[in-house]
Amino acid sequence: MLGPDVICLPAEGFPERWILYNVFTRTCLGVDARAFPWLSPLTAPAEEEIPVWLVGWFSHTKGTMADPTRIRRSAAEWGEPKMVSYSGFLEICRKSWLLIDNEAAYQKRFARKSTPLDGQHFGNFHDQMGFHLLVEKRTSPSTWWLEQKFSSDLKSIRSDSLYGQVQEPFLRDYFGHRLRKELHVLDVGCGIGFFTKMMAEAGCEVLGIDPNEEYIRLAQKNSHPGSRFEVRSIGHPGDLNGLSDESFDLVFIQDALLFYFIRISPSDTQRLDVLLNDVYRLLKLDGSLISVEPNPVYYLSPWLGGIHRPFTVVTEHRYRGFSTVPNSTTFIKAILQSGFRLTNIEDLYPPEHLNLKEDRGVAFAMEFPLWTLLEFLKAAR
Amino acid sequence: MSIKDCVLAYFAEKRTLAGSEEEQFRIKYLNEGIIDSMGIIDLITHFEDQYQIRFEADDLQSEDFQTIGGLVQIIERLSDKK
Repeated sequence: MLGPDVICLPAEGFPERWILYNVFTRTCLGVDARAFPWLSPLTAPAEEEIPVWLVGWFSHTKGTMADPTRIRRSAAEWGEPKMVSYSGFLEICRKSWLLIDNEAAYQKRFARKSTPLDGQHFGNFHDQMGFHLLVEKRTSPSTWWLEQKFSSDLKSIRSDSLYGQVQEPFLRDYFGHRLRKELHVLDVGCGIGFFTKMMAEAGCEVLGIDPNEEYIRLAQKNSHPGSRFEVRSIGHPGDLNGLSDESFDLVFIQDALLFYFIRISPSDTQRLDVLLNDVYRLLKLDGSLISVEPNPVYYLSPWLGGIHRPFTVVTEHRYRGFSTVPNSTTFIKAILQSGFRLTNIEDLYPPEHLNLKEDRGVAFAMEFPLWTLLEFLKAAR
Repeated sequence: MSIKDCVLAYFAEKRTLAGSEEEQFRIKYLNEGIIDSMGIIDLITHFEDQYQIRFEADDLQSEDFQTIGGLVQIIERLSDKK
């Protein structure tokens, strides 16, 4: 029978074409409308063959900010269909988790992948992306990460991404009024140091740390006076030894704390409590922890609806199977329990002046922010 | 050098492999951290280049691919097909 998690979406511009989409596995199939009677157990199989399009993985192959439902808007690029009989159609639907014969066996697959090549479990977004990059694209996840976010010279954020259209202008404006000269800032998980440099340009003295040696090498190449970088493991006892107690006015963590709640790989060993204790120790009293993390509800969700009436499908809240960001209560509570007080919260919306008609992503982000900024004050324990 | 010896030598360069050959063949090199996600691309291209073969998606996600012995069998099968 048609799986319980499947929705049907019309393809734009091709009235006879539809997408069958499993909202949990993010798998999909392009089908001709003549396939619908075949999904009913009451319909006798026809003799004819019908076209299907193996449009495959229905998620973020073009980056974490890409539209997960873009395939319904690009039917002209689906390529040549495969002609299938009734039995062939059912087989493809089973392989794509659109037809589910055994609910218990299907349920067992909702677990993280045991290895990057585990084809037996669906895994979360990190697992699926890693699997897809390795098996289909034959590319390294760290290379892909840089390419989907930055220009080829790594000096700017891609303007055709929501990083470039939402995150960068928001933070540039926020830093402009929040930072002042000579503040000492620690940028935790700084990557290639794009925002480290932006804070240094605002006059701060910034130390960027990241465990990835290649990222730090690239950060040092594009550094700005006032910024310096160190390769450091983070989140293990002793990792930040050597940095003095109460030596920073601000600790900035962007798109990195999520990995302390839901690990990229099950074998990762970093600990949130260790990191938060280090942040507490390094901050001056009344210093602030500023976190910018993906919105726990809307990040990675499908972009549906008309461009002026966007809607999405929320699939998880308490138990995270696909999502890689904890819900906001879990996230905030963990930080409060480490001796901080929440003092500010901002959702990251795009600037108002952008031309929304040309960018569905911006229209979606205008209604459903993809990031949230939280400011915490170090309080006396 | 046989395919089997080449594969064993590749893994032995990463970590000393203990036990008999039969035991070494059963090693799940991803689970045991001999190869991490960054090393998988190197492993794939190394053997594809060396034997002028192409691992298909079904090969890569098979349980066989994740053991040393299974990997030997897959390379032998693909080499025979040429």
